Amino acid sequence: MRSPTTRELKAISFLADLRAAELETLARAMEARAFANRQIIFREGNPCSGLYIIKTGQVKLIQTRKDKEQLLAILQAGEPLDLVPFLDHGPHSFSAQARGAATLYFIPPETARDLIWGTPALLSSVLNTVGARLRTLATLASDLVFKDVTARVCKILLEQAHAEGLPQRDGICLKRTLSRQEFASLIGTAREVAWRSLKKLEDEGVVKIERNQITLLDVERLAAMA
Amino acid sequence: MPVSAEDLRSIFLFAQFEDSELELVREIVTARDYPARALVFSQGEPSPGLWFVRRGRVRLYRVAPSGREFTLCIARQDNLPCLGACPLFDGDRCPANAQALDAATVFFIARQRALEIAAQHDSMARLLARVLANHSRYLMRLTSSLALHCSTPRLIDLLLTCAQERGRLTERGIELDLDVSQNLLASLLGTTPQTIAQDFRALERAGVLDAQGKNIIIFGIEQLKRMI
Repeated sequence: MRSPTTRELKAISFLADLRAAELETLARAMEARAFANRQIIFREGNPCSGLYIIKTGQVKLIQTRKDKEQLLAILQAGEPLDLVPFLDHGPHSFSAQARGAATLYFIPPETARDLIWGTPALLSSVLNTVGARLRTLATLASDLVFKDVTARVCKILLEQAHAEGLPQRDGICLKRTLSRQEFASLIGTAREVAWRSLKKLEDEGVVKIERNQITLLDVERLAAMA
Repeated sequence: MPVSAEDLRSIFLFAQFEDSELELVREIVTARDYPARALVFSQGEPSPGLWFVRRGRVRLYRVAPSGREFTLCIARQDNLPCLGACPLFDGDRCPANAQALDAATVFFIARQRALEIAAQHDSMARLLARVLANHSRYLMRLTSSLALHCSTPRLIDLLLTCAQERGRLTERGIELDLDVSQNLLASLLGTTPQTIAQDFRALERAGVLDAQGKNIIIFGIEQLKRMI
């Protein structure tokens, strides 16, 4: 597929601080790659396969231990995938999988490493992003220790409401875009446990679960429980 | 207190620095001593800069509204020695508390000075990159083990790491002294001291180790590895 234009790259906040000439160099080194739903982009433990930035679609970041999976995050258009290998030459510390059809901008690993270390604005953006993700990871780890499953369910629902909730007459409506398995592995528990906890919230009148959507009826209570 | 070049080099992150680069760092670094249990920085405060643990141990921890504590990591000269890298870049507040576990000496560099040197000198930029990468990988392992394992495999994982780092091979097995109390061990594994005690008893019943306070003797390291 064709290389992106500098205008397309300028719109990506991760690259916002780069000058026009730097964006041009980056654009020349880049190609767009298409991934099918569920296609693996790279695997945990493998050597760095390149720099990826999501052009369209979504990507799941997953850690696997034996047969168990933890969904670390679902990244959206504009977000870069694994940056850590460019900082320490190490392998990927998680796997990335397309969620639905996705198109990603791609730069091969060696070229990407040279560009990152040769472009101060890009290096600074990489360090900022990794720093911000570190903060998120520390919170994720503490939530797993401090919060029980119900509290973590409440927190995920509120985060989703904040990102994509639609205010309606009886509350905030969320499209059910996550499968039960995805929802559970985002919370860090088994499918049945996450589902039971969600049903309990429905019994208590805090949420209403329908086939295609969940309505948050009592956001204040949800926030108090999170 | 002034810091010598040898002092800085004793922290592995500075080992590859040229003499001239170390001189630059020496000009902006100060040594601070903390008594055991003193707070180095607090969660929610603006972050003044970077800390490098030279002597002793400093634990990074968070406190829940209930008062329960969770220790994210224990920083030492040879293990995750640099603290403060996360707020260094986003300028946001400290994401956790840091407390000296023993009498500790910590080297401090003010935020602005660290960023200035990193902008001008590749080796400082690479040091910060390495610190962020090390912390990222550590927290990745921590979150996956918290999400996917119960406390027993996490305890075993910690014991295996300690055994590898400072276990002594004796005729009885691999002996090691845990340098943490049961309470700290529990807060490090994200569980309660009672659960840790139960886990130890279960491992003893399985015949893989003997735990007398902080003294551990591992009889079957291979068996222990299989239990994760």
